[in-house]
Amino acid sequence: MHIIVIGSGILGLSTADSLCAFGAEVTLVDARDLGAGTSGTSFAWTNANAKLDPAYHALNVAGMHEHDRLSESLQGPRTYFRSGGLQLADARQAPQLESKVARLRELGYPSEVLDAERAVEIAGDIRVPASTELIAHFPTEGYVHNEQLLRNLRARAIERGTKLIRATVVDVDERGDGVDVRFSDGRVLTGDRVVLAAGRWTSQIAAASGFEIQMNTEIGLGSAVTGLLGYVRPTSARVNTVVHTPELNLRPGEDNTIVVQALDLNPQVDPDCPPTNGGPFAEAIAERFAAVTAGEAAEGLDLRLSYRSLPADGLTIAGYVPGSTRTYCLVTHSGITLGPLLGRLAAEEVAEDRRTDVLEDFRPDRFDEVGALAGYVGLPTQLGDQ
Amino acid sequence: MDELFRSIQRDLERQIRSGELAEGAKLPSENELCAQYAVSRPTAQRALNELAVDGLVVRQRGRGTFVSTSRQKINLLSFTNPAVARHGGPGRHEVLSAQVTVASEAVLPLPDIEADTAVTEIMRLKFDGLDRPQALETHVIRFSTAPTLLRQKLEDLIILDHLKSHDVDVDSIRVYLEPTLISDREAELLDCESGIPALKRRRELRDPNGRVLETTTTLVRPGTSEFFIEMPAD
Repeated sequence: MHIIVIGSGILGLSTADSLCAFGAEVTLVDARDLGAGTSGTSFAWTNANAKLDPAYHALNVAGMHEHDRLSESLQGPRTYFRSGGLQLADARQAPQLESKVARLRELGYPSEVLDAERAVEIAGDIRVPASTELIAHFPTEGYVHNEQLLRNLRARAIERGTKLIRATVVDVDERGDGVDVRFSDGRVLTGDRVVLAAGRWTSQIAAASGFEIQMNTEIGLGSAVTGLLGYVRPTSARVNTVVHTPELNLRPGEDNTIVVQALDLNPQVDPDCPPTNGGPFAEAIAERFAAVTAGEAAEGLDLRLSYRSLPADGLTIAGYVPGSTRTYCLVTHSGITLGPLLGRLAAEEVAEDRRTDVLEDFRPDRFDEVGALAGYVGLPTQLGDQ
Repeated sequence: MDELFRSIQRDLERQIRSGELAEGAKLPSENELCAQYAVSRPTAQRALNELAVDGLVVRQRGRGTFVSTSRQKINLLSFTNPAVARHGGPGRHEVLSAQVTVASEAVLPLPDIEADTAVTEIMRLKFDGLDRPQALETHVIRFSTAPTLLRQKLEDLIILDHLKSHDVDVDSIRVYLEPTLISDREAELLDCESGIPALKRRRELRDPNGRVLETTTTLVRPGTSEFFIEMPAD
């Protein structure tokens, strides 16, 4: 069986890699360099934290386990770190964090409340703000060196036999005995199945192909998909874990860098005039970085803008497009947490013609129902959101 | 003083870039600059020295200061020696592409490699001190040899250094020289005519078992360089 995977982000790569393991013939198509989409620029926090819908929570917990499984077999530098996650809440945020911890406990998600001293022992060179009222610790959370993971996964998919094509996909056309993928240069590639895993470009390819994948694709001032990340090369400060504070979130990056984000700044970012490394956003982030690390300068601060891949209801879309038997759609938010799991499950469904129970709540046809968007996601700007 | 020498430096740089001062032209002497800008001699001297550091001018004792010609002299052995490569001419690198791909699709073949081996492929354009494209560099390396290569700042990357700092055992370095014709894409990147002859240097790094780990080609813009080999006589 020849399967064409569109998109070389974490979902497409995981799918291609798993499909090869099932013995399929796989062609991976992407228009851009590896890491040019959302998977390459991500806070890369593995969690099921603010995901309180039970089915989605369970999916994310399974996604976290899958990282353990993947890291056992994947060659190359280590990329998954189950470091735990810390959230520091001020007086305003404390009640919300408290009720979240209670709800997560009901769902069986490990969590504990810590004092400041213990939090610092876990976190590294972090100063707990004086305004902190409540500190929660989620020991099963962690982070991923997402760019290196993409490279390791791509190398393995290649060595398992994945063919690569660099091309921009225009549309997908299902025929009786196959499916055609048409490229912008006029070429057509025919396969037995297509997995559409093009992240934030998915809905555009879907629309051109005559079906609908509902996503939040509006890029503009205040839109929900914009995310600003900062990459710092500190001289001495180290963080050991994912830390959320009211003003700044931090996690360890590759080669002793620290990756930071300030969620409350995201709605002010204008994609038409992206923040520069010397501008007011950089200044604000450097100030917050100094405050939370007890005076460390944000050396080499490099800001990068990412655009989330965000289905309209915020939940994963995985399954055959309604009315189709050959076009499988795989798109999600939280791709770093979910990518390895979703890739393996989608590969099972496509290569083995199986249906997987944990994906039943996330089929593309749910949008056909009235009121499907009732749980429409807002802006992730609060502690532990996103 | 800081301000003054910079403004003279910028002024002269502008004249060189605009062509007012052509290749090989003589710049005003230190004394002439002192008079022209009403500055002290150390200030004038510093301005000219800074231009020389940037590779824009050549200072010749007793003769004066001249706009650099774009014709470079390149020791072919520098290709095998990172210590020399590090001090390579002034000018920036621009990364054209960087990708993990499959050996059979890579822009350069690695000898004796299995077709479905993962490789890292990097293409860079080197500019000279006047910011004109000077050379097209293409690297293909086994992914497993240097899995963190793409984490580096690729503008400044020296592959031999990277391999050394990651304890990769490179046993031999072989350099080939191949006459070639400039392709349309190469002509566009190097800002020269397509179809004209050029010299391509190709380097192979081998491990102790004779397996090729990496290959790099450098295509220098035709007519801009003279190649030579020089070794200590003893």
